[in-house]
Amino acid sequence: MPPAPLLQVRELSIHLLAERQAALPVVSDVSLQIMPGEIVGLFGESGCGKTTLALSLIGLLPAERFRASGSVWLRGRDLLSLAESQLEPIRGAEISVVFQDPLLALNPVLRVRRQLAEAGGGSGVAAADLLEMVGLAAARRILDAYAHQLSGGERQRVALALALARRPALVIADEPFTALDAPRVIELARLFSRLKEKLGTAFLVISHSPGALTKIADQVLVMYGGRLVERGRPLAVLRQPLHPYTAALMRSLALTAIPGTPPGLAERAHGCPFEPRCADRLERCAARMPAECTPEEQRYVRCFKYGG
Amino acid sequence: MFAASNMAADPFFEARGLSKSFAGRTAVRDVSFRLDQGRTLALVGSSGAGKSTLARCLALFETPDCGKVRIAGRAPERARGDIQLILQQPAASLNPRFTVEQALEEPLRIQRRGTAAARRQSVLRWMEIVGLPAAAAGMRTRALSGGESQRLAIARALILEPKLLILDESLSGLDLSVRAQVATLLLDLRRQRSLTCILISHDLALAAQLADEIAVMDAGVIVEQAAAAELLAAPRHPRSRELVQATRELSLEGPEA
Amino acid sequence: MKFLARRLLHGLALLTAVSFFSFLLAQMAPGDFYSELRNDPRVSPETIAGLRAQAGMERPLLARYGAWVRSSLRGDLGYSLAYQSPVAPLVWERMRSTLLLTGTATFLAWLIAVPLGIWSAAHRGTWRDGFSRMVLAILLTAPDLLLALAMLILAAQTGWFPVGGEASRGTPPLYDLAWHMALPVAVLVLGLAPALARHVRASLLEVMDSPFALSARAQGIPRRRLLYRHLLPAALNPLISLFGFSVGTLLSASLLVEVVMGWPGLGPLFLEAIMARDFAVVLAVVMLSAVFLLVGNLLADLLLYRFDPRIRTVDQ
Repeated sequence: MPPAPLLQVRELSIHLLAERQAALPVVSDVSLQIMPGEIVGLFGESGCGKTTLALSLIGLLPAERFRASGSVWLRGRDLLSLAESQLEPIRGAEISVVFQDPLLALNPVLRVRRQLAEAGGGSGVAAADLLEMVGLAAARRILDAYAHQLSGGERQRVALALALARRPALVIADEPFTALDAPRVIELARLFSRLKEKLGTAFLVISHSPGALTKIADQVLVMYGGRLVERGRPLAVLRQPLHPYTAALMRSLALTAIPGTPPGLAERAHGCPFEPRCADRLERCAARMPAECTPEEQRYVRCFKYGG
Repeated sequence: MFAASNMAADPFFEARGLSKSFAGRTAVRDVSFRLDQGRTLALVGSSGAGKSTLARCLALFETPDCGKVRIAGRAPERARGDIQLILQQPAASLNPRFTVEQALEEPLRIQRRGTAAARRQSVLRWMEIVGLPAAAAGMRTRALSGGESQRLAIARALILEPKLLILDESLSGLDLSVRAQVATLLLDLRRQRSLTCILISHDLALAAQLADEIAVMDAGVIVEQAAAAELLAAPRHPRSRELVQATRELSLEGPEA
Repeated sequence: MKFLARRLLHGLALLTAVSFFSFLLAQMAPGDFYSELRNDPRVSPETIAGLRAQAGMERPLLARYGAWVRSSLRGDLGYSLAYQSPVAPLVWERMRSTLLLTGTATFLAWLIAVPLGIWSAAHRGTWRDGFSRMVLAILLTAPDLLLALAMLILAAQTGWFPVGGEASRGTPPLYDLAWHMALPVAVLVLGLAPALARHVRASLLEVMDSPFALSARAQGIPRRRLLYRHLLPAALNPLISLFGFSVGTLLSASLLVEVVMGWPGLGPLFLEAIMARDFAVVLAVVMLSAVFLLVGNLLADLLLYRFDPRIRTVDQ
């Protein structure tokens, strides 16, 4: 019997509620799964809904502005159906998040030691051990420091340590590689791999750095316009992309621009969101969204070129 | 052919012995380089290497502790807009309450160039050049997307026809597809107008695509400088080697890592 | 330590400037204590001149200033021509009354405002919050004068509270004091608390919307703990400044209320002294207020230094 997935998202849709307007779709009909100890890369650009998706998994979206439908299964429970009081014990303990800007993500008036203790929630994991886990030596200096006294790299690792404090099964990392130069990217990527091996932690890494994802991810998901358009193993998806958007994005690495701009929230129609900019578009692409199909082993894509 | 005459004459842009320290910490130490007109030099290195401080010294926003900067043999004057700087966050250099048109007109107005009508023409022309629709003229700058803001920043920098354009991580915060668009724009502009540029970036791959020459910075010092292709093929300094090696590892070419 | 020394020096310089300019401005105001006498036909100009010479009013400005400074430093704040007594004890006694009033009111205002502000921020968006904000807004806009008069009318009509004064005969001292203080304190608290509560709320909201708050929530930190152990400490900064300001205005906040409600503090004394051109008293009160303001600011700075690590470690 194949192992059970750690996290299973089924047909998740998230709408932004606007006054005097119909609700705007931010994420539409996304289904994915993460196996225990798997590193999954979420690849996409601004506005594709990746951060909203990540926040919605642990209910961090303000309830009055967002409405989510579908289901998010974690260890037998649908997280979307849980109340805030039931979600609180899950956050940090089973799923945690590392946000993009470490300076802003750390409390400015509490020492690192204190923040680690709070994040650990009395689980007894020694703060120094946590720091060592994320590759920070000089534990004493860092433990006593405040956020603004640390370098950018140190802050990022402290933020990661905070997320790992209670050994959650899944850590969501939002753009950890942005603004790092190549050697640091590799260092951080290796850290993720090490953590996966030593702790068995699964990671959902949101990034638009294909190189880093190729190195560590077991699975890559490509999002555009609120939809998941392609998934598969990283080398396959990023080197031989199936979906026209993925292909165009890879070409833009060589500075070949994609004409047009991504659709804003109000412009999303019923069909494929990439249709206006797609060189291979067909008539039915604007009318409806293709279903997911499997043109090759372990590769999934939503594009009429391959069926659906 | 040995262009001795070119080397002996003043290079178009020259930085000599620039140094800058803050509160006892040396950010830039004895940096010197030359740049010919119409060429692009990229300064690469990790954060903390001193690249931004150097950029600010070159753009005359900071006074270096020692050393000098020369354009066409003379000291550049900030007042004349000889050197323009584009930052990483376009919002940092754009007044959010200005409209696109006001933002573009402001540098011309400050420099008192041309009549109001001539300025308006310039503004519209540059909007077209950078690919901003004419309808955007009345929009507030804060309503622009990241890519649009950067285009506006570029237009604003170039509208004064500076002798040198410095881009400080200007492409770093952008999405891949937007980055491609802005980079293409820059390449076109450079070709059409023979722009001289200094690009600061932590991304060696991007630098190699946009620059003729690359200088690697580490701890405030330029440790190696060579033509882009040469640096990528045969880096000499350990720091450059580290950077090139890592960049290659992260690129998607070659067999499975 | 260097920081403290610098601020003290700064404060002293400021005090000197305030004293000089107050002195100067007081002298520049037309008339002096004896001006009224000129209207009285029975008093001859020579008598007036003699009185003035006796009071030392004929000396040049700088000489008078110098003399004033010298004697002030010794604790002798001059002589009140209106009350015919040394200024220092007069002012001292009145100051105690004022501090009793404002001290109590400030303490109560903070006691009410902080929990109210926290509650308001924690319940942002609910109808309860909207309602309380409306009430606070109304109180905020109501002028002190109006509140004071309203209270006086209440007192006069119902007889539940005395209409002015600090003490009456025939009632036990502490109870008597509280009874007399109740209304003026109420007016002051109603004036101070709403603004404070709003500041507390605003400061907390700003912190609640910050990325590190979201980060902490993502770490699973429970709501109460998050609010009191993570968010509140980060929101202290503007509140500490406000606290310093509260201390700084302990002498001046109640001037109007004291005058209207008949509380024998510095307020009425100050007003009378101005009307009577009793400069010694005016100067003394101004200087005391300035001292309090400086002390309040200094206190705020020290507290900020102690409680905000960003300020404390800026040179490291």
